[in-house]
Order: sequence, then structure tokens, then C-alpha cells
Amino acid sequence: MPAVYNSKREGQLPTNFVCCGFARREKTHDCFRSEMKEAVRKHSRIQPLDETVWNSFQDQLFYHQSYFDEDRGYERLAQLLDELDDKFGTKGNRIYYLSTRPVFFTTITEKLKKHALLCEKNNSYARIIIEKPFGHDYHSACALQSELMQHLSESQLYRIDHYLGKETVQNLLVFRFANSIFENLWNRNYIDHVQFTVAEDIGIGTRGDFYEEQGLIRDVMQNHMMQLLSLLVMESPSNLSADAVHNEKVKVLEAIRPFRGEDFERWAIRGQYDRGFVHGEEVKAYREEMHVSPHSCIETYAAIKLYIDNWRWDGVPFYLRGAKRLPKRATEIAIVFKNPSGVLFKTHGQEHESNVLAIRIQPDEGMALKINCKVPGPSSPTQPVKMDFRYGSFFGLTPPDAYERLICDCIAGDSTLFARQDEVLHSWAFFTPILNYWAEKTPKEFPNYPCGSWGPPSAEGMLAQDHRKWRLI
Amino acid sequence: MGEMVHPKQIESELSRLWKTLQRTGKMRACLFNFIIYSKQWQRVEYLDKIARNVIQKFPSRIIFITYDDTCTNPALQTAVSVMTAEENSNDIACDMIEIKACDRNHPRVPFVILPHLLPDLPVYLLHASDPAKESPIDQKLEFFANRMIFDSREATDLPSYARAVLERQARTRADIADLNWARTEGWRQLIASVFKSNTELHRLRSARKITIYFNRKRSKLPDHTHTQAVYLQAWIAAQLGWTLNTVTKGCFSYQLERHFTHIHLIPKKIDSVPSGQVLSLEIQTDSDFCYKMERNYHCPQNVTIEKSSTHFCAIPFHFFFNQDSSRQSLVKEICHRGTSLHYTNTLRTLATIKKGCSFQ
Repeated sequence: MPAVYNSKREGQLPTNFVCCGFARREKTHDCFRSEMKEAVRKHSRIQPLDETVWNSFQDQLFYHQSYFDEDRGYERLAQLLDELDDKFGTKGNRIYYLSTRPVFFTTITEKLKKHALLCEKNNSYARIIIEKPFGHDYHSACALQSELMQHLSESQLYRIDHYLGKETVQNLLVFRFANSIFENLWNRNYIDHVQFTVAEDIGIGTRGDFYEEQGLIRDVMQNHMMQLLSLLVMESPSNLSADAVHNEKVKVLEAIRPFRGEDFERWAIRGQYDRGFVHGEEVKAYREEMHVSPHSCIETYAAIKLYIDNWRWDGVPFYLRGAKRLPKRATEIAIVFKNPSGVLFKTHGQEHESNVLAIRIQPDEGMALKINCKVPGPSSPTQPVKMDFRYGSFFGLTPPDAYERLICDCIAGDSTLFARQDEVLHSWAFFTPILNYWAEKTPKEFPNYPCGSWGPPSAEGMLAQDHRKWRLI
Repeated sequence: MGEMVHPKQIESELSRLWKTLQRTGKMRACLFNFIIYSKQWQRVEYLDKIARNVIQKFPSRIIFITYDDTCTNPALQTAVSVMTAEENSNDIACDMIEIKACDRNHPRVPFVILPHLLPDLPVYLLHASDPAKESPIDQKLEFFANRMIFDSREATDLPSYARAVLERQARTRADIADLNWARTEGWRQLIASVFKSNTELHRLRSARKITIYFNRKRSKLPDHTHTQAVYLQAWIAAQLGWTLNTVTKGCFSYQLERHFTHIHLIPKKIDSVPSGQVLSLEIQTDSDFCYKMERNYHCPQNVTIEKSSTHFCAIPFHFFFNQDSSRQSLVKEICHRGTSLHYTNTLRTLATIKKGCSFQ
């Protein structure tokens, strides 16, 4: 709702716009509006709440009470939406944002179809937005897809991954394809390895029961990180249409080398946080969190090494790590270039520091390039320095929230920044064997990293065997 | 201490500080993360001075950890400020994060530091405590250090110190350096220049007695005045390939094949020269050559060198240490990359001294 409000505030929404809440609790339109106002006041990225904008906005906010499986509720919904069409001129265009647990997706979609709420006639559209998780593993993702496709077409389904709505993620394509200097370096000849990090300093809070079903891979890696990976390494699309971009992303995911044999032990590391200190405060272990089993084997840390078997990336390792309760919150991609020849400036047997291009997705959005420079003075030692670009310093404006961008894109019918079915399935195809392997083996060493540290020693070991180290971020 | 803040607010408070300084002309700069860790709060002023010397040429984010064993406050005290090379300077300024720890909250310190290490920049750890007395915090900090700088001034037992430093180096693969080693740079340069030719070097190698006088004047800090002298004699021995034979009070005996050399360390008290510095060096060789290198106590940078034998007496000449040599050497020791082979060889020589042997 804060995203919708901000879109309205910034003039991004069409004039003929209505928003209707659909849930099981009884409440009036005014009660719903009041609740939404409080939510927006608390969570909007633009503060304070603009009363004039809100007063105009709330006149377009309505509420409809029903259970998700109640036919009568959908009949009444159809009537309400027809009335709103007449009053606000929305011409039968519908977007259904299913902000619910995935178990309800199929039921809701089926009911919408049954009551002609997904019909696209007279140039109107009807779309459904669903949030991750898109399935629990490869088979459940296929099953979900199959069930949903019985009631709507792929073009009507928008799988939202809010990472794709972030300005810094969208900038990946601009950075790569609107600048000529990097393209020649963007391959195995110059890049030593790439590190992806999605770090959070918070724990799972009160979402223990949800997290016990998910774990880190399902929560972050299978979706957000694979989107980042595919955007970073894909070939240039022929144009910026949704299909052209998706096609190139899928080619990346298809080329990821599946795990075999020893790979599961060597290249997939998991961890679970123990008691420790974050920002100076003592915090509890994962197994002590609410709604978490004291014997839980769910991972709160995962580190994966993978290879992309194509011409551009053959032999370049990609290291992915994601975790809860690390020292700080940060999402970052680091492209580590190969070491230069040290023939000229080697000192005391030291290799030069590698050049690193660090792309900060959040927070402190921007990029930094590490290069080696000469230290002023008569001798010639070298010192690494950083060239730093920060969004906030250059552009000044607070960028739109990811959801604002994505909702507006869905209204415009642009699915470029949404996940396509085959992307989701290819991603599951890679991770499901890892999840199955872990499910069969009880991790004896859990918990294996203290809160506030950068993860378990085994994760360091995974890179150390390649003579590399995780970057400090 | 600077502005006291909760650890969670360190970065936001630094951002706020810099916003207020934007119009004052100060430029924020950083070449590396510089962690200074001392278990002795009495050394804070001394370490603060070192930090300011460093940032004059090498601006860095300074994380200053002091351990106060008299403090009973269980909460970790953290503060942020901006540091310049000189007070009220308008030039380059650096972030300063101060952490005051005690017994009760010591384990939290590495976790407070980790989020504030700037990525892609080296981490230099100035470990101003005796590494022979290891604490859990050391290992956690060392893991991230590209360079560890010690200060053997505080080491109670130099051979144990040497062994501890070598062991740390092997364990972490970080570069190592020593401030006290840096303080001997002038004398090492002097000896290298006097014994430059093969003839002179041969005479030095055949020395039968070397006497090093050092200043036993105490400073305000708790330290050991003989350290630089011990370093210097170990360096000479290491460079000449001598093997340590015996160690007795004030005397190190070395051997090279059938040749023996005895190095004596003799304390003297000179008020005009800083504590612990080498005052003079006398070398007597097998071929009856005698070298005497002595500081001018009124102008301590000036060293007079006399060379004579039973048949020969050279005109004395002078060698001048840089006016500011101590400060420049310290900065160079902290900031320049790599580990000095001379230093590790010196440590290896000292490490051969058996436990329990006392030369003090």
C-alpha cells in the first residue's frame, strides 16, 4: 500500500484507478482506509504523509470481505468491481495482487476464473501478481505452474521479485550495455571470479514458523541471487522487450553446471547462527528463536560455488553467499579481476592487489572500483585505492521503492522486471538437488557460526581451497 | 573520547558528522583501515600521536581499541569523531571510531568492528600489546589483517615475543612489522654505510667484541629500555650469519665456524636522548681494528664515527640521522607493504634464545 500511495503521490498512477482490499475480516471501507493510512504513515519512503494526496487517494480505496474459497464472496466482488468500473472508468482492467501464503494461489486463481474475473475482453486486461516463494522445490514449482495455467495464461501472471525493481539492479543492464569500456573485460580472460553477497544483520524475528519451511536458499538464493546472477552475466539482448531480456537470462540459467558427486560437499556450505553479538548487543541463536525447533537443521547461511558453462564464462567460479545475522546488512556483487603481471612493481615478493569492481545493491547504493596507485615519494610501492560512485551523492533524489516501479510496470503490461516461468524452473532445477542432499544429511555441526561473524569457517575454507578469500563488505 | 554513540549508530553518526563538516573545507579520505589495539590505557596518548603521524601522509579510518582493566562498566563504550593530523587543521581528515573495552565486554569488540571495516582497503592492525600474551580478541582481529604491526617496546620477554610474532605470521600470512624495529633504522643504515665495502664487511664479520650502549632512562610509558639494543645486535648477527651460542646477563655470544664474537649490552642514563635508544657502538676486530660510533648527546642525530688500528687512525667523520627519522620510520614501518626479511631474520635469531635465559 505505501508503494501504491507513493506512485499516486508522484503521479505515476493512471487517474482512473481504484484499489480494493480483499480479506476475510469484516470491516467497513472507512475502517480499511484508516488502517491503510496508518500503514502508509509508518512505512512510506516519503515522509511525512501528505494529507491532501491521501484524502484524494483514500476516495479510491475500498474493501471487500470474503474468504478465499467462498464463491458467494467472488460473486459480490464481481458486482463491486463492475460498479467501480462505472464510477471510476477503469474499463474492466484488473490487477489482483495476491499478498497471501502460496497455498492459496491456486484456489484464488480458480475462483477468479470461475467468476469471470480473469476475462480479458474489449481490450481490457486481467493480471495476477504473486510473490515468492514460487513453489518449494522443482516439482512443486512445476505443479504450481501447471495449476495456475489451467486458469490463466503466462502473459497474465506476474511473478514479483522485488530485487528486480531496485534501481541498482536495473542499472546492471545500463552499466554493462551503455558503457563500452567494460564489455571487453567481461569474460573469463580478465575476470578471476565473482562474489555475490546478500547479508542481513537481523535474525528471523517472529517468522520462525515460516522460516522453518524455507531456509536461506529458498528465501534468498533461488530467487533474488539468481536474478542478480543472470543480469550480470547475460549476453546483450537484441532489444529491451520483456521476452528478449528474459530469453538471455534463461540462457544463463540453462548453462549453470549442475552439481554432481563431490560437488555437494565441496561447493555447497550451509550454516546456522549461534549466539553472538550484533552491533554490540548479545543476540540469541537460531534454535532459541520463537517457533523454531531446538533441533532445527534449517540453514540461515548458505554459500555456493557454481560455474557457467558457456563461451564467455567457462572456468570462472561464481561464489554466492547469503545469510542472516552477519555483521551488517548489505547486498553486493564483486567482480574480481585477474592479477596483473607483477614484473615491474613487485615489492617484497607481494602480488598486486586485484582490481575489484564492487556493485552495492543496498544500502549505500553505488559502485566502487579498486585500483593500484603509486604512493607519493621517491620509491615505487603501490597502494590500493578506491574510486567511488554513490547514487545519493550524485542524483540527490530518493529513488522509487522497488514495489512502486514493479506495480506501475504491471499496470503498463511490462513484464521485463518480473520472473518468467522458465527462469523460476531452471533456478529450481539447480537448487533442488542441493536441498535434497542437505535434507538427507543431518548437519552435526549446527549451529556453526556466531551472530555478528561473517559465517562458518567451512565457508572460508571453500574459497581457501581455491586460494581466494571472501571479501569484507 | 569523541561523540558517544551506540554501536548500531556508528555509521549514521559518522555521516552526520561529515555533513556538518562539509562546508569547513575538510576532505574525508581513507587509504586503509587502521586498527590500533592496546591493553594498556596508559599508552593511549602515545598511540594517538602515532595515529596522527600516520594520517598526515596516509589518511585512514582509525579504529582505536583500548582495554581498561580498571573499568567495571559492563557496556561497551563506543564513540566516533573526525581526526586530523594536527589539531584544528583544515586539511584531510579521517574517521575515528573509539572503543573502550574491559573484562566484561571484551569478547564483543571484534563483532563491533567487523561491520565498520571499509571494504577493498587493507586492514592494518597495530597490536600495541605483547603478542606473547594472547587473548581471544587477537585471533579474531588478526584474521582480517593484511598487516600486523607490533611494538616490542612492551614485550617483557623478547625471545617469547619473537616466537609469538613468527608464529602469528605463519598462522595469518599477514605482513608483520615492529615499531621498535623501525626505531633502529638509523643505526642499521649507519652500520651498513660504514661496513659497505667487502674489506670492511670482512672486518666486521671477524669482530671479536661488540659493545652497545643504550639509554636506560625511563619514559612515562611502561616499556623495556634494552629492546632496541637487543634488536640491533641480533640484526648484526643475522646479517653476518652468526649462530647464537650462549646468552648471559648483558652478553650474547655468537659463533661463525671457529670464530666467536661477544656482544655486550651496557645501559647508561642520558637525559637528552629518548629512552631506549642506542647511544654508541664499539667494535673490536680480530685484526685489531677498532670502530667507535657515538651519538653527540647535545645533538643526538649526529653520530661520530672513529676508525683506528695499531697502525692506522682515520679522521673521524659524521653520520646524521634524519631530523625527523623516528617519525618517518614509524610511518614507513606501519604503512609500507611487505615484511622486511632483515626483521624476520632478526626475530629468528632472537627466537633461538632458550626459555629461561635472561640477558637483562
